[in-house]
Amino acid sequence: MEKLNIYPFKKRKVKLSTFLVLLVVMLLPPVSFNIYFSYAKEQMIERLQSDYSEVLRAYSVKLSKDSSKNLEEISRVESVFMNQIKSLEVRVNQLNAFLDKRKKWEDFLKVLLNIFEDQNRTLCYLDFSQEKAIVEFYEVSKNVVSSTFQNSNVSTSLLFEEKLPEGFYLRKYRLEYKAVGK
Amino acid sequence: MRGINRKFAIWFAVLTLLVLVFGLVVLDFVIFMSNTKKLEQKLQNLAPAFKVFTLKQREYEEIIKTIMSTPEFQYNFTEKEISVEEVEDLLKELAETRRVTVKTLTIDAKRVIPINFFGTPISQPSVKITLELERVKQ
Repeated sequence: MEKLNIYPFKKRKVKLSTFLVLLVVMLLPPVSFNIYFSYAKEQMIERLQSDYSEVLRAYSVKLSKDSSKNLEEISRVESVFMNQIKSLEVRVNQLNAFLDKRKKWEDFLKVLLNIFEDQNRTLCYLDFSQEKAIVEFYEVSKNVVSSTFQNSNVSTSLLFEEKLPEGFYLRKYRLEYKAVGK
Repeated sequence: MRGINRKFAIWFAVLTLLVLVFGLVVLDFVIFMSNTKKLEQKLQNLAPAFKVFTLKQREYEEIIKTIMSTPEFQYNFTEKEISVEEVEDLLKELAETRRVTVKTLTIDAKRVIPINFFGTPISQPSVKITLELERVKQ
Protein backbone atom coordinates (compact mmCIF):
# COMPACT_ATOMS: atom_id res chain seq x y z
CA MET A 1 0.00 0.00 0.00
CA GLU A 2 1.26 3.39 -0.95
CA LYS A 3 2.23 5.94 1.69
CA LEU A 4 0.57 9.31 1.21
CA ASN A 5 1.62 12.52 2.81
CA ILE A 6 -1.48 14.55 2.96
CA TYR A 7 -0.23 17.05 5.54
CA PRO A 8 -1.32 20.43 4.02
CA PHE A 9 1.51 22.61 5.47
CA LYS A 10 4.41 20.52 4.43
CA LYS A 11 7.53 22.45 3.22
CA ARG A 12 8.72 21.57 -0.29
CA LYS A 13 12.40 20.93 -0.36
CA VAL A 14 15.04 20.25 -3.00
CA LYS A 15 18.04 18.05 -2.63
CA LEU A 16 21.43 19.69 -2.17
CA SER A 17 22.68 18.14 -5.40
CA THR A 18 19.66 19.56 -7.27
CA PHE A 19 20.35 22.97 -5.75
CA LEU A 20 23.98 22.80 -6.85
CA VAL A 21 22.94 21.81 -10.36
CA LEU A 22 20.54 24.76 -10.37
CA LEU A 23 23.32 27.10 -9.31
CA VAL A 24 25.66 25.79 -11.99
CA VAL A 25 22.93 26.24 -14.59
CA MET A 26 22.38 29.80 -13.38
CA LEU A 27 26.09 30.47 -13.72
CA LEU A 28 26.05 29.60 -17.41
CA PRO A 29 24.45 32.84 -18.71
CA PRO A 30 26.93 35.15 -16.89
CA VAL A 31 29.83 33.06 -18.12
CA SER A 32 28.61 33.13 -21.71
CA PHE A 33 27.90 36.88 -21.45
CA ASN A 34 31.37 37.33 -20.09
CA ILE A 35 32.92 35.44 -23.00
CA TYR A 36 30.90 37.48 -25.50
CA PHE A 37 31.76 40.81 -23.85
CA SER A 38 35.39 39.85 -23.62
CA TYR A 39 35.40 39.20 -27.37
CA ALA A 40 33.62 42.53 -27.99
CA LYS A 41 36.20 44.34 -25.83
CA GLU A 42 39.07 42.77 -27.78
CA GLN A 43 37.48 43.87 -31.03
CA MET A 44 37.10 47.43 -29.76
CA ILE A 45 40.67 47.56 -28.49
CA GLU A 46 41.96 46.22 -31.81
CA ARG A 47 39.98 48.84 -33.71
CA LEU A 48 41.30 51.65 -31.53
CA GLN A 49 44.82 50.26 -31.82
CA SER A 50 44.66 50.27 -35.63
CA ASP A 51 42.79 53.61 -35.96
CA TYR A 52 45.25 55.50 -33.77
CA SER A 53 48.35 53.37 -34.34
CA GLU A 54 50.55 56.40 -35.10
CA VAL A 55 50.02 58.11 -31.75
CA LEU A 56 49.96 54.90 -29.76
CA ARG A 57 53.17 53.63 -31.37
CA ALA A 58 54.92 56.96 -30.87
CA TYR A 59 54.32 56.83 -27.14
CA SER A 60 54.56 53.00 -26.91
CA VAL A 61 51.07 52.62 -25.52
CA LYS A 62 49.63 49.11 -25.55
CA LEU A 63 45.89 49.16 -24.99
CA SER A 64 44.50 46.41 -22.81
CA LYS A 65 41.09 45.26 -21.64
CA ASP A 66 41.62 47.23 -18.46
CA SER A 67 39.86 50.41 -19.55
CA SER A 68 40.83 52.52 -16.54
CA LYS A 69 44.48 51.65 -17.11
CA ASN A 70 44.06 52.69 -20.77
CA LEU A 71 42.62 56.02 -19.66
CA GLU A 72 45.53 56.54 -17.27
CA GLU A 73 48.00 55.77 -20.06
CA ILE A 74 46.34 58.22 -22.45
CA SER A 75 46.29 60.90 -19.76
CA ARG A 76 50.04 60.32 -19.32
CA VAL A 77 50.51 60.57 -23.10
CA GLU A 78 48.50 63.79 -23.12
CA SER A 79 50.67 65.39 -20.46
CA VAL A 80 53.89 64.23 -22.19
CA PHE A 81 52.52 65.56 -25.48
CA MET A 82 51.62 68.94 -23.94
CA ASN A 83 55.15 69.21 -22.54
CA GLN A 84 56.58 68.34 -25.95
CA ILE A 85 54.41 70.99 -27.60
CA LYS A 86 55.56 73.59 -25.08
CA SER A 87 59.21 72.67 -25.54
CA LEU A 88 58.88 72.71 -29.34
CA GLU A 89 57.15 76.09 -29.13
CA VAL A 90 60.03 77.48 -27.07
CA ARG A 91 62.59 76.01 -29.50
CA VAL A 92 60.73 77.32 -32.55
CA ASN A 93 60.52 80.78 -30.97
CA GLN A 94 64.25 80.68 -30.22
CA LEU A 95 64.98 79.56 -33.77
CA ASN A 96 62.74 82.25 -35.24
CA ALA A 97 64.47 84.89 -33.12
CA PHE A 98 67.84 83.52 -34.28
CA LEU A 99 66.77 83.49 -37.93
CA ASP A 100 65.41 87.02 -37.62
CA LYS A 101 68.75 88.21 -36.27
CA ARG A 102 70.56 86.22 -38.93
CA LYS A 103 68.43 87.82 -41.64
CA LYS A 104 69.28 91.28 -40.37
CA TRP A 105 72.97 90.38 -40.44
CA GLU A 106 72.73 88.88 -43.96
CA ASP A 107 70.85 91.92 -45.27
CA PHE A 108 73.52 94.17 -43.86
CA LEU A 109 76.25 91.92 -45.25
CA LYS A 110 74.80 92.35 -48.75
CA VAL A 111 75.05 96.11 -48.36
CA LEU A 112 78.60 95.77 -47.03
CA LEU A 113 79.69 93.50 -49.89
CA ASN A 114 78.06 95.86 -52.32
CA ILE A 115 80.20 98.71 -50.93
CA PHE A 116 83.45 96.79 -51.12
CA GLU A 117 82.85 95.32 -54.58
CA ASP A 118 84.70 98.44 -55.62
CA GLN A 119 88.41 97.76 -55.08
CA ASN A 120 89.10 101.44 -54.47
CA ARG A 121 87.35 101.45 -51.15
CA THR A 122 88.90 100.79 -47.74
CA LEU A 123 86.95 100.13 -44.59
CA CYS A 124 87.66 102.57 -41.84
CA TYR A 125 85.00 101.95 -39.22
CA LEU A 126 82.12 99.56 -38.84
CA ASP A 127 79.62 99.35 -36.03
CA PHE A 128 76.87 96.82 -36.49
CA SER A 129 74.04 96.08 -34.12
CA GLN A 130 70.65 94.47 -34.64
CA GLU A 131 68.99 97.87 -34.98
CA LYS A 132 71.40 99.82 -37.14
CA ALA A 133 74.89 99.93 -38.59
CA ILE A 134 77.39 102.62 -39.30
CA VAL A 135 80.09 102.13 -41.91
CA GLU A 136 82.82 104.61 -42.65
CA PHE A 137 85.13 104.05 -45.55
CA TYR A 138 87.61 105.76 -47.81
CA GLU A 139 87.33 105.87 -51.54
CA VAL A 140 90.03 106.76 -53.99
CA SER A 141 88.71 107.53 -57.46
CA LYS A 142 88.70 109.93 -60.33
CA ASN A 143 84.90 109.95 -60.41
CA VAL A 144 82.66 112.58 -59.03
CA VAL A 145 80.90 111.86 -55.70
CA SER A 146 79.33 108.41 -55.99
CA SER A 147 75.66 107.89 -55.39
CA THR A 148 75.57 104.13 -55.71
CA PHE A 149 73.72 103.31 -52.50
CA GLN A 150 70.16 103.68 -53.63
CA ASN A 151 68.50 101.93 -50.75
CA SER A 152 65.74 103.21 -48.50
CA ASN A 153 67.48 101.76 -45.44
CA VAL A 154 70.79 103.39 -46.26
CA SER A 155 71.75 107.01 -45.98
CA THR A 156 75.19 108.10 -47.14
CA SER A 157 77.04 111.28 -46.32
CA LEU A 158 80.39 112.54 -47.54
CA LEU A 159 82.64 113.32 -44.58
CA PHE A 160 85.53 114.86 -46.45
CA GLU A 161 87.14 115.12 -49.87
CA GLU A 162 90.76 115.68 -50.70
CA LYS A 163 92.41 116.12 -54.04
CA LEU A 164 95.31 113.77 -54.78
CA PRO A 165 97.88 113.89 -57.57
CA GLU A 166 96.98 112.78 -61.11
CA GLY A 167 93.36 113.82 -60.79
CA PHE A 168 92.49 111.34 -58.04
CA TYR A 169 90.22 112.18 -55.13
CA LEU A 170 90.29 110.75 -51.63
CA ARG A 171 86.85 110.80 -50.13
CA LYS A 172 85.58 109.55 -46.82
CA TYR A 173 81.97 108.39 -46.60
CA ARG A 174 79.73 107.61 -43.70
CA LEU A 175 76.93 105.18 -44.34
CA GLU A 176 74.07 104.68 -41.93
CA TYR A 177 72.05 101.53 -42.30
CA LYS A 178 68.74 100.89 -40.56
CA ALA A 179 67.91 97.23 -40.01
CA VAL A 180 64.40 96.14 -40.96
CA GLY A 181 62.68 93.26 -39.20
CA LYS A 182 60.60 90.52 -40.83
CA MET B 1 13.21 15.04 4.56
CA ARG B 2 16.58 16.74 4.54
CA GLY B 3 17.33 19.39 1.87
CA ILE B 4 16.97 23.07 1.04
CA ASN B 5 13.75 24.95 0.94
CA ARG B 6 12.64 24.97 -2.70
CA LYS B 7 11.50 28.58 -2.74
CA PHE B 8 14.72 29.69 -1.17
CA ALA B 9 16.75 27.60 -3.64
CA ILE B 10 14.99 29.11 -6.64
CA TRP B 11 15.20 32.68 -5.39
CA PHE B 12 18.82 32.24 -4.44
CA ALA B 13 19.69 30.83 -7.87
CA VAL B 14 17.75 33.58 -9.69
CA LEU B 15 19.28 36.33 -7.59
CA THR B 16 22.75 34.87 -8.10
CA LEU B 17 22.10 34.95 -11.82
CA LEU B 18 20.87 38.53 -11.73
CA VAL B 19 23.73 39.72 -9.51
CA LEU B 20 26.32 38.05 -11.70
CA VAL B 21 24.81 39.26 -14.96
CA PHE B 22 23.86 42.82 -14.05
CA GLY B 23 26.13 43.44 -11.08
CA LEU B 24 29.34 42.14 -12.55
CA VAL B 25 29.37 41.26 -16.23
CA VAL B 26 27.09 43.93 -17.67
CA LEU B 27 28.25 46.60 -15.23
CA ASP B 28 31.87 45.85 -16.09
CA PHE B 29 31.06 46.10 -19.78
CA VAL B 30 29.14 49.35 -19.32
CA ILE B 31 32.11 50.84 -17.43
CA PHE B 32 34.44 49.56 -20.15
CA MET B 33 32.28 51.13 -22.85
CA SER B 34 32.12 54.45 -21.04
CA ASN B 35 35.90 54.52 -20.47
CA THR B 36 36.57 53.43 -24.04
CA LYS B 37 34.34 56.22 -25.33
CA LYS B 38 36.32 58.74 -23.27
CA LEU B 39 39.55 57.16 -24.49
CA GLU B 40 38.46 57.40 -28.11
CA GLN B 41 37.46 61.03 -27.60
CA LYS B 42 40.90 61.78 -26.21
CA LEU B 43 42.60 59.90 -29.04
CA GLN B 44 40.44 61.74 -31.58
CA ASN B 45 41.68 65.04 -30.18
CA LEU B 46 45.24 63.83 -29.86
CA ALA B 47 45.69 62.28 -33.32
CA PRO B 48 45.40 65.42 -35.51
CA ALA B 49 47.37 67.48 -32.99
CA PHE B 50 50.05 64.82 -33.02
CA LYS B 51 50.19 64.91 -36.83
CA VAL B 52 50.64 68.69 -36.84
CA PHE B 53 53.19 68.38 -34.05
CA THR B 54 55.30 65.81 -35.94
CA LEU B 55 55.15 67.95 -39.08
CA LYS B 56 56.30 71.03 -37.15
CA GLN B 57 58.99 69.01 -35.42
CA ARG B 58 60.26 67.66 -38.75
CA GLU B 59 60.22 71.18 -40.19
CA TYR B 60 62.20 72.42 -37.18
CA GLU B 61 64.71 69.58 -37.52
CA GLU B 62 65.13 70.28 -41.23
CA ILE B 63 65.93 73.94 -40.53
CA ILE B 64 68.39 72.96 -37.79
CA LYS B 65 69.95 70.39 -40.15
CA THR B 66 70.30 73.03 -42.88
CA ILE B 67 71.93 75.42 -40.43
CA MET B 68 74.23 72.70 -39.11
CA SER B 69 75.28 71.73 -42.63
CA THR B 70 77.05 75.09 -42.93
CA PRO B 71 80.69 75.26 -41.80
CA GLU B 72 81.63 75.40 -38.13
CA PHE B 73 82.54 78.86 -36.92
CA GLN B 74 86.07 78.82 -35.54
CA TYR B 75 86.59 82.25 -34.06
CA ASN B 76 85.99 82.60 -30.36
CA PHE B 77 86.65 86.02 -28.93
CA THR B 78 84.85 89.13 -27.82
CA GLU B 79 87.54 91.76 -28.24
CA LYS B 80 90.82 91.51 -30.09
CA GLU B 81 93.30 93.22 -32.36
CA ILE B 82 93.67 91.33 -35.61
CA SER B 83 95.18 91.99 -38.99
CA VAL B 84 93.21 93.32 -41.94
CA GLU B 85 93.53 89.96 -43.71
CA GLU B 86 92.10 88.24 -40.67
CA VAL B 87 89.19 90.68 -40.67
CA GLU B 88 88.49 89.68 -44.26
CA ASP B 89 88.59 85.97 -43.31
CA LEU B 90 86.34 86.62 -40.35
CA LEU B 91 83.77 88.43 -42.45
CA LYS B 92 83.89 85.66 -45.04
CA GLU B 93 83.31 83.04 -42.37
CA LEU B 94 80.50 85.04 -40.86
CA ALA B 95 78.88 85.17 -44.28
CA GLU B 96 79.35 81.44 -44.98
CA THR B 97 78.27 79.91 -41.71
CA ARG B 98 74.73 80.01 -40.47
CA ARG B 99 75.54 78.46 -37.14
CA VAL B 100 76.06 81.88 -35.64
CA THR B 101 74.57 85.28 -36.05
CA VAL B 102 76.18 88.59 -35.27
CA LYS B 103 74.58 90.55 -32.48
CA THR B 104 77.13 93.33 -32.50
CA LEU B 105 80.28 93.86 -34.50
CA THR B 106 82.64 96.77 -34.32
CA ILE B 107 85.65 97.09 -36.55
CA ASP B 108 87.71 100.08 -35.62
CA ALA B 109 90.27 100.79 -38.32
CA LYS B 110 90.33 104.52 -37.90
CA ARG B 111 94.09 104.52 -37.93
CA VAL B 112 94.07 103.03 -41.43
CA ILE B 113 95.58 105.37 -43.98
CA PRO B 114 93.93 104.15 -47.15
CA ILE B 115 96.56 105.26 -49.61
CA ASN B 116 100.10 106.37 -49.73
CA PHE B 117 101.10 109.32 -51.80
CA PHE B 118 101.31 107.25 -54.98
CA GLY B 119 97.63 106.40 -54.75
CA THR B 120 98.01 102.70 -53.90
CA PRO B 121 96.09 101.16 -51.03
CA ILE B 122 98.07 100.10 -47.99
CA SER B 123 96.87 98.07 -45.04
CA GLN B 124 97.34 98.64 -41.39
CA PRO B 125 98.87 95.78 -39.38
CA SER B 126 96.08 95.42 -36.84
CA VAL B 127 92.50 96.44 -36.43
CA LYS B 128 90.54 96.53 -33.21
CA ILE B 129 87.52 94.32 -33.39
CA THR B 130 84.66 93.64 -31.00
CA LEU B 131 82.33 90.79 -31.78
CA GLU B 132 79.29 89.46 -29.99
CA LEU B 133 77.78 86.35 -31.45
CA GLU B 134 74.75 84.21 -30.90
CA ARG B 135 74.98 80.52 -31.64
CA VAL B 136 72.07 78.42 -32.75
CA LYS B 137 70.74 76.21 -29.96
CA GLN B 138 69.89 72.64 -30.79
